[in-house]
Amino acid sequence: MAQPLPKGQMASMPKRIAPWPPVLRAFLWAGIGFVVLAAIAAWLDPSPNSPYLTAVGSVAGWFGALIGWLLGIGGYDYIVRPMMGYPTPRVRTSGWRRYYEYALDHKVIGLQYLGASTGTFLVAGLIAMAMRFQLMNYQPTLFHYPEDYLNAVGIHGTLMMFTVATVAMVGGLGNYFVPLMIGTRETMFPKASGISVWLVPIGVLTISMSPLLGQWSTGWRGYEPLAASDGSGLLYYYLGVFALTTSSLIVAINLTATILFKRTKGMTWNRLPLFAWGILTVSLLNIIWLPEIQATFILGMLDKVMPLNLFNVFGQPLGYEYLFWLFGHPEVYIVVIPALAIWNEILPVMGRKSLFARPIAVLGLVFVMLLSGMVWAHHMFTMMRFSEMLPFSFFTEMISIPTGFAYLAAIGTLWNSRLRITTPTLLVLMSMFNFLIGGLTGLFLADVPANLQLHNTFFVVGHFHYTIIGGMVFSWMAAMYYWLPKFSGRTYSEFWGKLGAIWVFIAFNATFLNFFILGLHGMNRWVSAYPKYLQPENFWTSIAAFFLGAGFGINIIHIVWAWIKGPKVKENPWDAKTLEWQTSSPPPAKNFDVLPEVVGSFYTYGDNVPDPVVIPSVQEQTPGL
Amino acid sequence: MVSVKGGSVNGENGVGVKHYRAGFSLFLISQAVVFMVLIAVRYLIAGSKVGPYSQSLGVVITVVMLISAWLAYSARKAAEHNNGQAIQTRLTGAFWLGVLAFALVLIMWTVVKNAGYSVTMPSLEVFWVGTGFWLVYVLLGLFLLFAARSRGRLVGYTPNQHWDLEASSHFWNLVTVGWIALWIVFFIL
Repeated sequence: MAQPLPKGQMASMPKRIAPWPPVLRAFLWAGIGFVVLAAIAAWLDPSPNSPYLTAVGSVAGWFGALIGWLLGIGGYDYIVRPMMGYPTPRVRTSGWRRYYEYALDHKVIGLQYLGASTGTFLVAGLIAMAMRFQLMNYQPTLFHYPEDYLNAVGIHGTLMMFTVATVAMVGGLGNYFVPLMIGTRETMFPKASGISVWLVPIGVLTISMSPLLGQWSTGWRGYEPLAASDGSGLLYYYLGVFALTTSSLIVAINLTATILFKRTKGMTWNRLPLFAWGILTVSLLNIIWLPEIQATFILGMLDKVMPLNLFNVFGQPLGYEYLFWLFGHPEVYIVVIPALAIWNEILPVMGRKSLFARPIAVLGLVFVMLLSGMVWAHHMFTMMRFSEMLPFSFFTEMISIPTGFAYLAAIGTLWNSRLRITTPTLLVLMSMFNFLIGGLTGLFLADVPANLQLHNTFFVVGHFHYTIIGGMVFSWMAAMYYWLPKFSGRTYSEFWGKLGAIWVFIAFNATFLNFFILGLHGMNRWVSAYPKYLQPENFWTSIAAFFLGAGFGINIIHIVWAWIKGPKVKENPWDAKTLEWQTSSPPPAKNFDVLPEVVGSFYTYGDNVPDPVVIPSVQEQTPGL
Repeated sequence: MVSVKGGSVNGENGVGVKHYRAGFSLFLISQAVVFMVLIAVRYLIAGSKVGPYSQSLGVVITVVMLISAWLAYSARKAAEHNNGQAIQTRLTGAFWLGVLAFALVLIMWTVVKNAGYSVTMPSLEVFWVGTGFWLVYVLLGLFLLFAARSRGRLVGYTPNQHWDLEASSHFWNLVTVGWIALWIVFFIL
C-alpha cells in the first residue's frame, strides 16, 4: 500500500537484512503460526477426540501458518514495517537467489509464477498419469478404493485449474510482459505483487497434502451435499484454493491498474497490444468472480467446521452449486481469453501481415468477458426446469460468436500471408484446431437434449480438456517458444521444438478424441471401475495419455535447455514491433533506459510502413536535464 | 514528480495519487463482491426472515461505525491541512470505536446464543456468517488504522504525502459501508 519512494531516496535505503534464507524463515514462522493458532483454537474449542488437532484447530492453524509464511518470506520486512513508518530494506536485484525471495521486479515475479505453474503442471500431470494407469483396467488396481481415485481426480483438477490454467498466462506471462508491452518500468503495486506469488506455494502444498486430514471426493468443485460426507481434507481444499485465488486476485488488480494508468506516451487503447487487452479483460473477470468463489468456499468451510446447515441436505445444496458455477464458467474464459489474445499476438508477426480486423479481435475478447457471466447454469441442466434452461442455452450458444471473432481475425491474418512455420506458429495453429473441437463439442453440450444425455460422461471431460489443454496449454507453449529469446537472449532448436509440438498434438488428439467416443459409449466420469466392454478403448486412451505426458516433458526439458544453453540470438529475432522487443534481451532491471513513445500500430505490416515506436532522447523525456 | 490533490509520487508515465486511488478502488470493488455474496446467501438460506437479534444493539453498532468512519475521513482531511496532532487524535478515536463495534458484535452473539434459540435457525446461521465475515474485515481495518497512526508518528504526513493514511481511511469506509449493508439486510428488510 505504501507509495513508491522517489528515485533519490532509494540510495539511502537500508541494506537488506537477511540473516538466513527467507524461505527457511518463512517455513519456521509458518510452523510457529500454525502451532500458536491451533493451540488457541484447541483451548477455546477442546475436542474429546483429539487433544492436539481439531477441525477448527486445523483451520485456525492454517491461517496462522499463512500469516507466518507471508511475514517470513518478506511481508514483515518489506510491507508491514514500512507501512508503520520503518525504513524498507533493499531488495536483491541480481543473482539466482532473487528468484527465491521477495521481489519487486515484475520480471522476477513473472518468472516465479511461471516456475510455480510449471512445477505444479508436472505434479498434477503425474497425478493424471496415475489416473490413466488406473483406467487401463476396468477393476481397481492402483487405487484400491473409489475415494482414493476421486481424491486424485480432485487434486489434479484443483491444481490444474487454480495454479496452472488461471496462473501461468496471467500471473506468469502477464506479470513479465504487460509492463514491457505497455512501456513502463514497473507495475502499479509492486509490493503487493511481490507477496502475491508466495501464496502459490502454500496453496499448492495445502491442496497436495490435504488427504492427510481425510479424503475428499468432490473433485475441483467441492460439490454439496457430497462435500458434507467428506473428511476434513476438504477443509484444506477450500483453504488452498483461497490462497491461490487471493494470489490471482492481487495479480488482477495490479495488472488492471498498470494497464489503465501506466501506459507510455502514445499507447492509446487502439494501439494496446492484443495480449495486454487479453490480460485486462481477464483481470476484470478475476476482480469480480474470484472474491465470489472465495466467499462461497469460506462459507462451505464454515459449514463443515461449525454446527451450520448452509449447504448440506438440511440447507440449500443447490445454492452452493449456483454460487460455484457463477464463478465456474467465467473461470473457463479466465483461462481461455489470454490464449485467444496470444494467437493474434503471434500470427501477424510470423505472417508479416497486418492483423486483420483488429477492433473485431479486441471486441471479441471484451464480449466473451461480458457474456461469460450469463452461461453458468448450463452446468446444471439436469437440475433445472425447462423454462430456466432456455436463456442459458441461448447465451452459451451466443458466446461462440465473440469467440469466433478471434478466429476471424486469425484466419483473416493468415489469408495470403507468407507464414513462417516456426514452432510458435505451429503451436498457435494447433491451439486453434484444438479449441475449435472444444468449442464445437461445447455447442452440443449447450443444447439441452444432448446435454441431458451426455451429462457426467467422458464426453464432457473431453470437451473441457480440448478447451483448457487444447486452447490454453498449447498457447502457453507457443508463447514460451515465442518469447524465449526475450526471456534469455537464447533460442531453441527448431527441430526439437517442432518435434515436441507435433508429438503433443498427435498424443493430445489421440487421447482426448477418444474421450468423446468413450463418453458416447457410456463411460462415466468420477469412476475408477467401469463396465468391462469399455476396457480396450480405455487401455489405448491411456497409452496415448502416457505419450502426451512424455511429450510435455520433452517440451519442458527443451525449453529449459534452450533457456540455459541454447544458441544466442539477436535481440529481436522475429522482427516483432511490440514494445517488449524494443529493449535488450533479457530486459534490463528497469526495462527501458528511456521510455519509448508509440506513434503507430504494432500490427501493421507492408511497404513503407513507418516504425510504430519512437525512442525520445533523455533530454526530451526529462525536462530540466 | 507529479503533484495532485492528496499527494505526489514518482510520476512515471504521469502516474499520480489519483491513479493509486483508482487502483485501490479496484480492490475495494472486489471486496464489495464478498458482501454481495453474503447478502445473496442470506436470501438463499433464510428468505426474508429477520432473526431474533438485538435491534437496539444493531443501531448502536451502526452509529459507532459511522462516527468511526467520519473520524478516519477527518484524519485524512487533517493531513491535507498538515495538522499532525489532529491526525493522531482522530485515528486513535476511529481505532477505538472500531474496537468497540467489534466487541458489540461479540456481545450480540453472546446474547443471541444465550437466549435459547437454535444455533441452526436459518436466519441465525446467515447472521453468524455475515457478521463473522465482517469481523474479519474489522480486524484488517483496525490493523490498517493502527499502521497509519504509527506511520504518522514515525514519518509524519504532509498535504502532498499521505497516501498510506488515505488508503487506510478508504478501507475503513468499506468496512463501514459493509456493516450498513448487512445491517439494512439483516435487521431491517
